Amino acid sequence: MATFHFTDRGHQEMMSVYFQNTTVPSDFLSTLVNDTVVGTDDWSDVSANVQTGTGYAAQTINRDATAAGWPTGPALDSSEMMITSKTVTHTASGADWIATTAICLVANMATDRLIGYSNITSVTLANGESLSATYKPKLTKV
Amino acid sequence: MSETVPKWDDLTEEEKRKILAGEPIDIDGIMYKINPHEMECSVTVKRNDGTIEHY
Repeated sequence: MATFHFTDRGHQEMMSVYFQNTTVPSDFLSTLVNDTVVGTDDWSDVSANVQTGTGYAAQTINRDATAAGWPTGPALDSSEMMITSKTVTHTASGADWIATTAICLVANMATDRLIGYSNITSVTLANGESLSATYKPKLTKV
Repeated sequence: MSETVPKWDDLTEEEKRKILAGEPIDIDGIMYKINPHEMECSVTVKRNDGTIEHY
């Protein structure tokens, strides 16, 4: 299981939406990038390094509790409150892709925001291969 | 409140394992945990030969 980190922007967005009723994202985007992401990055710092392979497209995760969004939870997982997204699949279709070194959860807004990320062992998909990801944001109550 | 934060070298192997796994540990009645706002993400790659890789 890859470790996934909220960015500073992710924390800020969640708090401002909940406490200050600011603009909510229309949905979320699962994205693949060739970059080493850090917690202070926003999407503008990373978007230039998005996967360039043939057939690549960000995959949408709805902002709801349906099977197209976040169908599981939120519920306690041990001492942590966790919600689970649908599983998204990115498939190289038409040609081999460049290496993917991080996957990113982006809030789809007028200005897209980087909510969280996972730097993974570099993986290169050949034509026809696929990468699937299930996002599991957690908040600790300890 | 004044308290002494335990040093890494003073932790038992089990306590170190729990910390690195992101699990809370109880030392003298105080719960410690690192990276309290992390997510998990299940990442799998399906190769053309049918192999499934986990990241």
